Amino acid sequence: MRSKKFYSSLAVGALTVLTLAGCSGVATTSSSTNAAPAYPTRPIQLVVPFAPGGGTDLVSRAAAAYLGQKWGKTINVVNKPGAGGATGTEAALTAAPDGYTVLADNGSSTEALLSGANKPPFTLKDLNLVGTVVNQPFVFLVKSGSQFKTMQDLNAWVKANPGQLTFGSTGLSSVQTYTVIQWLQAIGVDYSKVHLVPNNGASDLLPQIAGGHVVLGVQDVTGAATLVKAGQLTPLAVTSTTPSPLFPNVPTLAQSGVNGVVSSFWSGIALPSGAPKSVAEKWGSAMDSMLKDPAFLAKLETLNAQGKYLNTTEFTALVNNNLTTYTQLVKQYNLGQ
Amino acid sequence: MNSLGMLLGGFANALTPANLLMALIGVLIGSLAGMIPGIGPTPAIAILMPFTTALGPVQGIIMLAGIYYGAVYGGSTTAILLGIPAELQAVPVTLDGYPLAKQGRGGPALGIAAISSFVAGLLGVLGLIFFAPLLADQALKFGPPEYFALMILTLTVIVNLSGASVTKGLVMGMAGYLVSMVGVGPSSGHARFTFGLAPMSAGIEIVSVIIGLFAISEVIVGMSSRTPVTAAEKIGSVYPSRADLKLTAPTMVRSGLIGFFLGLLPGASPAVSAFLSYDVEKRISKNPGLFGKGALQGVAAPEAAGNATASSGFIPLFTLGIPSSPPLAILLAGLTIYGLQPGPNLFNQSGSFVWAVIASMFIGNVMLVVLHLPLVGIWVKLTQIPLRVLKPLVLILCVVGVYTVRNSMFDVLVALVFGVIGYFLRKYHWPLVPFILCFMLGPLTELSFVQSMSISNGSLSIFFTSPIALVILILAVALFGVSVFLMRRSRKRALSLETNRPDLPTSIHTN
Repeated sequence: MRSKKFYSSLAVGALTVLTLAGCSGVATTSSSTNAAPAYPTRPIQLVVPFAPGGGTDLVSRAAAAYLGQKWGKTINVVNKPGAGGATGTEAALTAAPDGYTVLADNGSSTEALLSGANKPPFTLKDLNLVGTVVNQPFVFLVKSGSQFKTMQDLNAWVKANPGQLTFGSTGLSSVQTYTVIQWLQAIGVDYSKVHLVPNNGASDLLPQIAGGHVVLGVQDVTGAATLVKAGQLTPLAVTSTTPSPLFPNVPTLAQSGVNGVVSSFWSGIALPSGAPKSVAEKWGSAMDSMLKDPAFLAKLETLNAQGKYLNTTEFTALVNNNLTTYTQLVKQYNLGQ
Repeated sequence: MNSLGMLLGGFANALTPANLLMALIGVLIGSLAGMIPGIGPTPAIAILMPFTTALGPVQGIIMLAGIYYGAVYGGSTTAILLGIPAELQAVPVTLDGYPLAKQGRGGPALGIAAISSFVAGLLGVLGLIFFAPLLADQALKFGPPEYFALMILTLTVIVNLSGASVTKGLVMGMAGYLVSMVGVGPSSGHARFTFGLAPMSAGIEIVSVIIGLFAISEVIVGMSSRTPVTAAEKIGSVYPSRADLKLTAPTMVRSGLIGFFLGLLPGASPAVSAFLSYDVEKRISKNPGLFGKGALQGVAAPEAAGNATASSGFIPLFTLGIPSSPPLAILLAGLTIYGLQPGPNLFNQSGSFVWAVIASMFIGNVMLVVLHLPLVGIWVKLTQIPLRVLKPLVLILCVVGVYTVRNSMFDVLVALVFGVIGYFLRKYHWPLVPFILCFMLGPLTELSFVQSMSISNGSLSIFFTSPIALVILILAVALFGVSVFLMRRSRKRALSLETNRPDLPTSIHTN
């Protein structure tokens, strides 16, 4: 009787130890890479630093499904929203740089944070910008059936009533906020008079605009499309130099009398800079061919996203360029945190 | 009505043997995923979606719906039989489900849970069919001040779930809020309470806290006390008696309605409605003392409300394209891949496919009951495992589950620490539910408060000029007052009976 008890406890003990060992083994397998090792050999974690349902989230899920199937390993999408993307980005960068924690990077969580934070938790050097999946404009959005039928209507109203403008954004230092500031500069309105309503991302922001709680939202075309097509939101203008293929009838800002304001929302893949080079190359070439595959492009279209592959050089140049502009804005308006 | 004809057409589309098989497989996989702590609906759907795209649209959606319902429901099995809430929504289910299982009434508890799920799911689907566009527009009236008021209302639940001492409950609530602040703040971007530790900056994962406080501490309690050899000799018939059904039927309907309306609001999770409905049932019960010690209504309420919220969440999803919870966001991605375009015109445009999807939701709900009631015979075996074997197995399940959420050993450590904390809290009768409730609601309350202040330019009047927010706040104050009054009165009564009271089995969660 006693021995039976002993053996059963022994078995349970051994199981516990094994389980713990299994867990820690997975977590700490280091990236000691001599020759390019087989990759991926186990599931990959793709960290999305925003709430589910937004633009980056849906595109990342499509890419994760595509590449996961191609490589025969699951790519798990993990949402870590908060603080304009800082939480998730930091989580991805502090994980083991073995290529099994990958960041679904985007303008909001990188350019915004690096330009806005006094002591950013990471720098551009910590990131290996592998390539973009999407590069597309933002849309100026208001509630459907409101007094604003065109961008000009909004411009005129804001000039007359700056104190009544509320706009939603993930934080002080976000590309949306920068775009709003640039727009206000262009039409000659004092930014300090308008009100920023912070949120956790598109799925938080869009109902607030559709419900009339917040006047203006600046959202990338992907996030905006569903509610625009559903007739809940009215798009006034896009922030690109040419109209978006997704909203061919919506004018650009320049066409609406707002000059010199161009911004884009990109989302792509970044790795911690310590990750093996072979892993980055594998992602880059896989993404290049993914964005040439009509099946994937068709999928992006159903998600209302404008696919665009920029390789690591072009991608890095775009981010550096934007960072210069945004850092200047942050200094000028004291948006730093 | 035309909808009815279209729905029948949808059933004709969905009810083929192959489709039924897909529903069965989906519910089975979903239930298994739901039972394992840390997995739950979101990862289950996310992981399996690529496989379902290999099937046709109708079959794929049927399977996804099955997984979703299965996972939402599956959590209650482990919650009731083993006292492990696999996710937040299952916490109120354990409050009465686990005591029932210990008393040998796990069967009826599981049966009631399945039936409540079914009734509420059905309610949600019916609402979707007949009122979808109308209700979705109303839900948009909820802005930041209204959400803030709703959070305050939910926080009043603490009073009722604090057990003997409201003070202890409030202290625990504040502690929960404090711990939820660890990480980067929701609006400022500043790091809070991270003590310079890198893993802390990502915040404390709620699953770690739940598993630690409720499951691991339970294992420690089991180790430190001389408990019977098995959890329960029997679990009783899974088919509830007529009396049980009569007792819980009004609860199911009430909680189903609460869950249904909360599900319309983007951002209100099944967990919120589960807690709220449990609280409502406890308040209106003629015998509130039974709650926390094995009241069947305590199982039916959160189960019905949670599932109703899960179902009515499809209304803002279909009519506005707003996913009200993470699993629905993934389902939305799945639906758009199959060419479904959400919006008020959905029912006119996508025609037969939409109705096939709705019919598949019916089928998923029916399959859930059909599958679970007979399967409970297998779960019985679970409770017959000797405790000295079962408890370590539970511990392993906890460790694996917590680890899986973010693939982080830090989270496992957090869970173990909270396990020890939970043990001492139980030992000295500090209620755990207020802690977890504030941990969940704290950040949401903070965000909606900051948003409201920004909209109103810093004026608190925004909460009183919005009629909806005002009504909810008045309700919150009234409920708070009534609860405290009732508690005082019942304590006086209890004191008068104190003298010759036999040593009551003290409940671990509430008293």
